[in-house]
This record gives sequence, C-alpha cells and structure tokens, in this order.
Amino acid sequence: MSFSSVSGQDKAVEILKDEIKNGRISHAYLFSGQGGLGKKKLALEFAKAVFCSNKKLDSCDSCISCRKVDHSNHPDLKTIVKAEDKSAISIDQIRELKKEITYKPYESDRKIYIIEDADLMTKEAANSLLKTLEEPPEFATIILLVEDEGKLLPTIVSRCQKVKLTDVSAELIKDILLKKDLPQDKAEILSYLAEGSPGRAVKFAENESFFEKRKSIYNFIAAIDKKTTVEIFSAADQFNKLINNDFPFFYLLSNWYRDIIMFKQNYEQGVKNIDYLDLIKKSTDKYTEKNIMDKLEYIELAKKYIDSNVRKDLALEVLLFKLRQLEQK
Amino acid sequence: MKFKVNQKDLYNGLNIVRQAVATSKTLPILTGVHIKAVSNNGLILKATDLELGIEYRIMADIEKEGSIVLPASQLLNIVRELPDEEIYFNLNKDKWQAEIKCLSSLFKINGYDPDEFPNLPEVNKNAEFNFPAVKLKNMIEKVIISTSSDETQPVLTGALFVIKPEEVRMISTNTYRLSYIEADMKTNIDKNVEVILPGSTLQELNSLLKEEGSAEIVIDENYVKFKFNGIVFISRLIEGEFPNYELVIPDEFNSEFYADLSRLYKAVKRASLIARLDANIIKLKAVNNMLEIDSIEGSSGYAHEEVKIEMNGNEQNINIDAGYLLDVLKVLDEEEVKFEMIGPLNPLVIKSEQDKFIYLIMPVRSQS
Repeated sequence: MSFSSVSGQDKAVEILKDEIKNGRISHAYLFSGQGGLGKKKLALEFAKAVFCSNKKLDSCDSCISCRKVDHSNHPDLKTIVKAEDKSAISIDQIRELKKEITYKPYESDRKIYIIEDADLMTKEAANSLLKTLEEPPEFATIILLVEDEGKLLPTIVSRCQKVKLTDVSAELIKDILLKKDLPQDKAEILSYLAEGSPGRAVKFAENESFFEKRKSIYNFIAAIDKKTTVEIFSAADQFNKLINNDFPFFYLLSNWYRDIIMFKQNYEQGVKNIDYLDLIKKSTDKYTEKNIMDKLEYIELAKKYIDSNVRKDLALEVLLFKLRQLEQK
Repeated sequence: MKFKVNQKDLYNGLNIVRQAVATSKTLPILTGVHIKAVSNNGLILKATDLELGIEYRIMADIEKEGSIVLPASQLLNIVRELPDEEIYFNLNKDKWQAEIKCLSSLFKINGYDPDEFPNLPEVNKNAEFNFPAVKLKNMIEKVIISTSSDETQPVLTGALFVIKPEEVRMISTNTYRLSYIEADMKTNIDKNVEVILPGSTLQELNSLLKEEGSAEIVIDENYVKFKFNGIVFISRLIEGEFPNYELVIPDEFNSEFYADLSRLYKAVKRASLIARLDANIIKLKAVNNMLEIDSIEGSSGYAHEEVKIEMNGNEQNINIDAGYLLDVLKVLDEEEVKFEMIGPLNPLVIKSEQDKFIYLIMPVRSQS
C-alpha cells in the first residue's frame, strides 16, 4: 500500500515525505479537504512511514510495525473519533489525550494522535486542546483531519502546519473505478458525479442499485409537470427512504438542473449526467434560466430545513410541489 | 502450538493476568491474553493495557511450541465453565484460531497475530531491592485509602513511593487527608529514589500479593516492576511532582488520647448513619477521659455517641468527615488507636506506633 495508495495527493505526500526526510516532523498537522479524498488514509500512511522499521521515507507494509498500524494495534498511534452515540468530540476525550500524550512512546520514537472530524470538537474540547497542540511533548505529533478548516477555531488552525488535499481529476477517479472492475460507461459517469472525490465515487459504485435509483429520480423529475398529487406523495415517500439510507438525493437533484443550465449555455462538455443527454436536451426548452434558479433555491431550502430538523417527508413534499408548480407556470 | 493444561491451573493463571487486560477497544489486541507455549517451561500468560502489564507462568505439557493472542473475556468465560480436567489446545496458524478441547467440549476461538502484541517494557535497574510481601501489602492497604479519585490532578491519584538506603516510605493524599507509612529496610541502594505509583496499580497489586514470600522490586524513571509468586507485574509511573508532605505532618501536639478501636469504630459508624444524610460531618469532643461524637445537626436528625478514652492534655474538639475516620479505622491492626491534636483548626492525627503509620484528617470548619 504505502503512500502510493493515496491517489491524486502527490503534493501532500511530497510535503510529508520531505518532513520525514529532513527529520523535521511537526508537532501538529492539519489535513484539510472534502470528504473522500483520503485524509484518514494519508494520516495512517504517514504514521506507518514514521514507524516503519524497514523503509525510511515510506512504509514496507510487511514489517511488524506496519501490520500493527493496519490492524489498529499500534500502541503509539491513537485515533480519536466522536463516540457513535454522541454528536461531538467531548472534552473528556481530549483530557484523556492530554493525560496520555505526556507518557513516552511505548515502542517507537514517536507517538502520533489522529483526531478525525476535528471540527466536531466542542468549543470547550477545542480550547482545552490548545496548550497541548502548541507544545506537545517533543516525541508527539497530533494530526487533525477536517473537511473545511473554516469550521475550526482560528486559534487551532494557527497552531498547525497545514496540508491541503486537493480534488482529484475525473480521469484519475475513472482509473480508480476501473481498477475496481467497474464497467467503462459507469466509471465514466461516476467520475463526473464524484466532483473530485474518489471516496465519493467508490461509495456510489459500491451501492449496487445506485444507477437504478438515479434513473427513477431523473425520470420522475423530468416529467414532474405531468405527475398527479398522489404520485407526488408516493414519490416523496420513496425519496425519503433514499435519504434515510444515505443516498445522495439532493446532490443528484441539483446536478440535474445544473446540467440543464450547462446545456442551455451551449456548454455540452460541462454536463455531468452524460447518459441522460437526450432527456436533458428535451427538458432544456421547457424552462427559462430564472425558472431553474428558483428550483435550485427551493432544493437548497429543503436541504436546510432537513438539516435543522424539519420532518423530512414534509420538506420533501413541499419541495416536489414547488418544483411542479414552477413548471406549470 | 499444541499443549495440554489443567483447567484449574489455566483458570487461576488467566485470573491473575486479566487484571491488566485493556477494557477499552482502542487497540483491539490488548483485549486479549498473549499465550506462549515453551517446551520444558510451561505456558507464559501475558496481558497489558500499556499502563499495567502482568506476566505469569503456569505448568503445562507442551507438545509443540508457539504463541497466540486470544480474547481474554471469552477465553476466561469458557475455561471457567469447563470441568476440572485436562484441556487440549491446538493452534491453526493460518487463521490465528485456537481449538480448545476438553472431554466432550470443543471450541474454536479466533485470536490475533501474537507478533502484534506489545512487549512488556524493559525496566532499567536504577533501584532494585527485595521487600517482604506482607509488609508491602500492609503499606499499600494503608495508603490506598487516601488516594484521590480526581483525575484533574493525576499526581494525587497515586501514592509516592520513597526508597532510602535504610528505609522505605509510602505517602498518599487527596489534600483533605493524608496517609504516611514507613518501614525500616536495608535496600542497598546508594541514593534516594522517589516515584509515584498509580492508584489502580496499587489496587491490583494489593489483590495479587499474598501474605508470604517476598517481592523483588525494580524501578526506573518510567516504570516499576514487582516480581512475586511467579508473577511479573510492571506498571507505568505517574509523572509529576508530589506535594511536600513533610510540611503538613505536625511534629508537636497539645493533647493525646487513646481509644479502643472496635468500640470507636462502631460508635463512629452509628453516628455516621445520621451524619451521612447531610455532609457526613461529625464533631469530636475529647474531655474528661471521654470522647463525645455528635453528628452536626442538619435537616435529617441528630446522633450522639460516647466512647471512653485515656487522655493527656487539655480539652479538644474538632469537626471532621466521618468517612475519612472510618476508612482508617478499617485498616488499623491494633486494638488501641492513638490520636494527637493541636486544636480545632489543625489536623487530627492518628498514629500507629507498631507500623510507623501516620494519618491526618483536615478539619471541616463548621458554620456555627
């Protein structure tokens, strides 16, 4: 595996390798970038490379220390994640870290702590980490993982060395998918839909009925003006189930209208849902640009409502009715 | 790996090492017991949660050497329920799976690659000496009561262990009470060593120590190792500076008095039945060879007890936490307890001469 298994992050890998090479491993790193780019993987590979007893700048994947990291059995590597039944990383978890970090490494020269979704730390937790983050024991390194560094306290960010993970090109994502034995056409579509995130692409690909469900959404949306009220209710019910199963419903929905705009602007190569080109083409004349903008706004609004705990089925029903209304004008 | 072992021996051994098995699942392998079969040497059982490590050897017939890590609680539950017979172990190395046979029972347990199990730390011989187990156990029992449970001050959750060339001391405090015990002991070390033993380590050690034999103790900057009854017990030390206990222990007193331990214990216990409904504060008043124990009057009622004492010096009274007094009365071995007092705002001192044990309870200021 080693660093090469983190696809498309050559720059970040290079920075980290340089740090190891020059013996200047920082006391704190902040890995940022959207979900599915491989932040966790990169952090683990970095830990492996630091601990590995065979290779200097990378990991060998066969020595005992590499295997320990792979099986999360390495005593000098600790990952802090939010507890499953909690909504945040608590101050107690950080206190535990602060207590433990003062102990010398158990078997290697360094100790590495990874805090996943660091933006989920409560304010108190984050503040209590500041002192340790600034000046941990000389043998310790803390790695914070976050999608958007703007969500962290500026006092946290300023104490870390930043390593930015960048979006991965569609071609590379396609290659990754092809290696996972996905057929060419599907890999192509997903590589666009993933918006630069290999993790997202793989997640879509692993959902067996992804394409089927996508088809049912797009067929419904393309013909929403002819749907009866009863049909809308049952569709809302069906979409609600999809959302509950973590299906990227809103994501696909806004992409649909986005593609129509692209087409309207005569920018056909910007269309993501390339397998629906015909249907998109047909829909294009039905809407004015203003009309589509309104629709996208409603979609965002529904998303916001659901995030702030409005009942999902209600929000979806309202959204679908609004979308239909806009078409009938 | 292939061996047979008696059920009782294995159960006993697992029970000893289980104290060091990790309870959290952060490192899955630490929830297991490392089992190593060595020809002519039996089975070596090992567990650690990185703070504490225990190694113990039991007799077994080894047919083929090898090792594996098996989940501790599963293994212990199975062995506990097996009859007192020979148990046959066989290892499938490809899957790290152990096959366990005993009479008509057959189990297959999935384990972990033993190479991934952390080694117990090496302890450098900065200080090394032997100590009679019974004495060690006695010292631990007396300091363990005063350790603090407040994690924000890690230093106070443990006990200070002081080793001098001719003397050994243990001290613990939660700032409201303090235990101090010393023992004369030729340790053959050339300079003083002071380390802090974690409270949890003392608990485990106390439960494993027997009244006989002696313990070999090795200490370095980070770890302490105890060897006794075939058990190797290694614990991490707490880093930090222990408060200066010598300043707190008064070296004079105005009054002293002696009380019968069991009578006093019962009287305090009864008074505390009422007192603990509030803050568990009792008032002690020593006057005319009589110790009066009153619960501080609160919302829940009132209790009054009297215990005869032998007294030198002037009249004294003090308010203290009844629980702190009961804790020490429980661990004292003498029939008579000795108290020393300066005044109501100075600590109440309890001394045991045969043990060189000193116990301080800080007074509680009463509102009235």
